[in-house]
Amino acid sequence: MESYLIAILTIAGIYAVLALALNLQFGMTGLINFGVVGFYGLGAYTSALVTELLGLPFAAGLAAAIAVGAVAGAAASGLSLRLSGDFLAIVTLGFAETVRLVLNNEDWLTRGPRGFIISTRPVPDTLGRDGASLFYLGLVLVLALVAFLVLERLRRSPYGRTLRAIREDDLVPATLGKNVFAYRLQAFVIGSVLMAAAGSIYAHYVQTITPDNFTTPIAILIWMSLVVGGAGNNVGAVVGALAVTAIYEGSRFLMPFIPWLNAEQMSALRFIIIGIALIAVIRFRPEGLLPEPVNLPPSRTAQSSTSQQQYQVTGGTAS
Amino acid sequence: MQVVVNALASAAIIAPAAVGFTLTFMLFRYANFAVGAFVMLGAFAAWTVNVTAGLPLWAGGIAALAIGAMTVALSDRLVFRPLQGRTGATLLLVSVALSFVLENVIRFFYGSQIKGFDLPLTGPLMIGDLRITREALAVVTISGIAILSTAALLTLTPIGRALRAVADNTSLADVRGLPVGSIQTVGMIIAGALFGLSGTLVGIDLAIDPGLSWAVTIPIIAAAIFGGLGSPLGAALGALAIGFAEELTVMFLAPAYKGAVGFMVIVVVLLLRPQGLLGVAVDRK
Amino acid sequence: MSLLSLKSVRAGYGSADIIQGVDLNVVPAETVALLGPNGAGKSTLLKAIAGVARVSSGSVTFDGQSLTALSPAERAAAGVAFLPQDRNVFRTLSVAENLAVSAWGCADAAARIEEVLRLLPNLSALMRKPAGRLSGGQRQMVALAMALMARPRILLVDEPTAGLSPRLVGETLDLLLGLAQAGLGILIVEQNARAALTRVQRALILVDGKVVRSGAASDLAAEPDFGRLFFGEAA
Ligand SMILES: Nc1ncnc2c1ncn2[C@@H]1O[C@H](COP(=O)(O)OP(=O)(O)OP(=O)(O)O)[C@@H](O)[C@H]1O
Ligand SMILES: [Mg+2]
Repeated sequence: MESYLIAILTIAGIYAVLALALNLQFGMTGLINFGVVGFYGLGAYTSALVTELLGLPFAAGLAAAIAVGAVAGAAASGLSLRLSGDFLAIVTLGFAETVRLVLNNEDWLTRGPRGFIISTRPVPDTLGRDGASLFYLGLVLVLALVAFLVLERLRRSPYGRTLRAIREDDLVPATLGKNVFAYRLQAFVIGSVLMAAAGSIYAHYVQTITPDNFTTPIAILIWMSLVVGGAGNNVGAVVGALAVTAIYEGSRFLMPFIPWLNAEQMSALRFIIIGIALIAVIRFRPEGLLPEPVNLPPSRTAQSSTSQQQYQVTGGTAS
Repeated sequence: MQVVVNALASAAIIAPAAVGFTLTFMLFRYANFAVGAFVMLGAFAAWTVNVTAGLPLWAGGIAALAIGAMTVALSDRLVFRPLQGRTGATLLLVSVALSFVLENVIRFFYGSQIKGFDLPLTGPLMIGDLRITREALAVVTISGIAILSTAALLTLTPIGRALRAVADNTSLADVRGLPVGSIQTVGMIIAGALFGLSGTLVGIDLAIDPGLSWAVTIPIIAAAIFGGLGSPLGAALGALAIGFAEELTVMFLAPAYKGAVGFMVIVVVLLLRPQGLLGVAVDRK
Repeated sequence: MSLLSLKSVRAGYGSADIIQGVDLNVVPAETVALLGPNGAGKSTLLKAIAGVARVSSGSVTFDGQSLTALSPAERAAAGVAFLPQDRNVFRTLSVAENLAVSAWGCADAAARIEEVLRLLPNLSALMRKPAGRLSGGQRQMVALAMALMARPRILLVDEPTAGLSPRLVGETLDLLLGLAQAGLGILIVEQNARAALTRVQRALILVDGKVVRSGAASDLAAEPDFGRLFFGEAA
């Protein structure tokens, strides 16, 4: 039971990093990324290939994942950011699907659906099995904490305010002479880098990765985490990830109570509930559990009270 | 030549759905990413009537149109209408969540096993070296008829005119006394029937399983983007472009990457001509 | 008997009231101008009557029947025709289609189109043109024709002469206000205050959401501080 708890916490920590990354992209900057699992999976496989095929240490795998995440993020967003948000959405979705196809089909490199086995682990050999999982949990929490602190700092900085201004209304910052495109690109790339890093950590944790580890359901869970927690709020993203993981994992224990459902139906039912819950939260509590902290620059607040109000109403879901 | 035949057949499958997607976008100005799920639902409706009930496929096709129309109209009422006035991003996200729900509803009732229609075996028609299966011929004909009727409906009939008026300027339509809500519902029913039709056609060509939903979403949206998102006919042409790109990929690259073609086409369109093939620049409120 | 009657109407968008207590009456065949500086709330007042802007308190009655619970389409059916200030034609539809679609639900659409073309004969030559490609003056004529398709009893017109040459301003106003002879009530928002005042019967001056002066058009035109009122300094 205890080791199960540690395992769930580790996964929750990784999801928290993903949710934090998505919060920077969507919550703070309004960029829709439906390809979360693409960046996540790319990071995982890059790290795995670098450590296993080239025999390099974990740190090199992580660094490579980060580099690939940055390039992929810059390419996907650079392509579509000048257009309306719908285009980024479809490009990222297509990107994730293409990554999945490559992972499944390039057997010679990824071993396809059979899975890629990873022996490199950033864990001292002297630790026992339990010690190793605790150590890994610590590692994940450190990454999550670093991500949180960096993003929270960024959110409070003038830079973060600019991102929010861009999210609310492209025209205002553009007239201020700020390069909206560059800001969006940067925000998207930082997010993608974090997702790829999360992928690397995940890969060396589970030690066997298959393309199926990086499919839509995970993306939905991450979106759910952010929307439930409160888009725009870093604490919300973390709380959301914990809550969603708890509910998702916890619902496993319901299984004995509905024995007439088979495993497939059970998993479908969980996803149905998650999907409906996501729609319901968007409809009835768009700001999530923890609404975005309102700290507009004074000039904007003073300018007009109506824009302030719009800000709050759409804060959770604005593009 | 064989490539042309195959490409036409591929295009014919997604074209109705791409037209439906464009219609939805024109009416409501949001991208409904649940298209693939509606198509998949149509495929399952047709399969149920055709295989479970043992009726001919045309009956399954009619069921698919009905189920498609009903699901889309219902989701419009229950999910999307109440969110009117929210940002396009919100509606987009909701459509993805909806798609996820529908996919799993089907998984719940039908499982994930691959299914296929019960079709009588027929030999292909040979015209010289050209191999045309009777199924492909039927798919292209039916799809062509559906698209031409939709185009005729939109350009020639009063309801089509009203649909275009609402798509053009909803608040003016309201002020001029048009029953905007009902007209939008009619538009959704047409779009839903087109999704259902694509579902039936896709089932003739490919295996039917819940995962179909994501596999077709990207090519459909790619076709609509290629067509400029402002004209249903453009979407049909976009489908042709996707069909050709897919066939060329199958022939010269790897069949496995057919699914990535839609994405590649979007990338190329965005690089070369962001406003799409026919459309003017897309602007969204 | 008054055709349109507003009592202490407050109206606006979201939670803010732009219109702050307006009373107004229009009787059949009467022409009334609504004047005032930019941002005074003229368009908002017309929109409130048409059902496009929210009325938060007060009453709007048309022909003795309250309009407040009706949708814009229902108000149109009741006989209220609103011509918005901008985006007042369907740009992607041809002129003929614009007219036809404005007669939605009317069995005699063809007859109505003929009737409107008799009033605005210049449109006949433009019927096949997409409305988005018309000149400003042509567009206003199409918008007016669309409003008339419903055979309204009151016309709410928002700046029909915006962007027109001075000669066209006079012609357009003459044509529009001439429609009142058939019994139509007309409430018109106009920036060309002088041109409007010489042609309408009554006028109201709206400043910051309140009526600051109203009366016979000739009286208002004769007021020595008319300009000051009009530009809103007297609020
Ligand atoms: N859709 C809207 N939402 C919120 N506020 C609005 C909206 N439309 C107008 N306003 C505000 O209402 C006020 C009155 O606007 P309105 O358009 O009624 O003025 P107007 O008298 O018609 O001016 P103009 O002569 O420039 O047309 C303005 O302060 C404007 O900013
Ligand atoms: Mg105005």
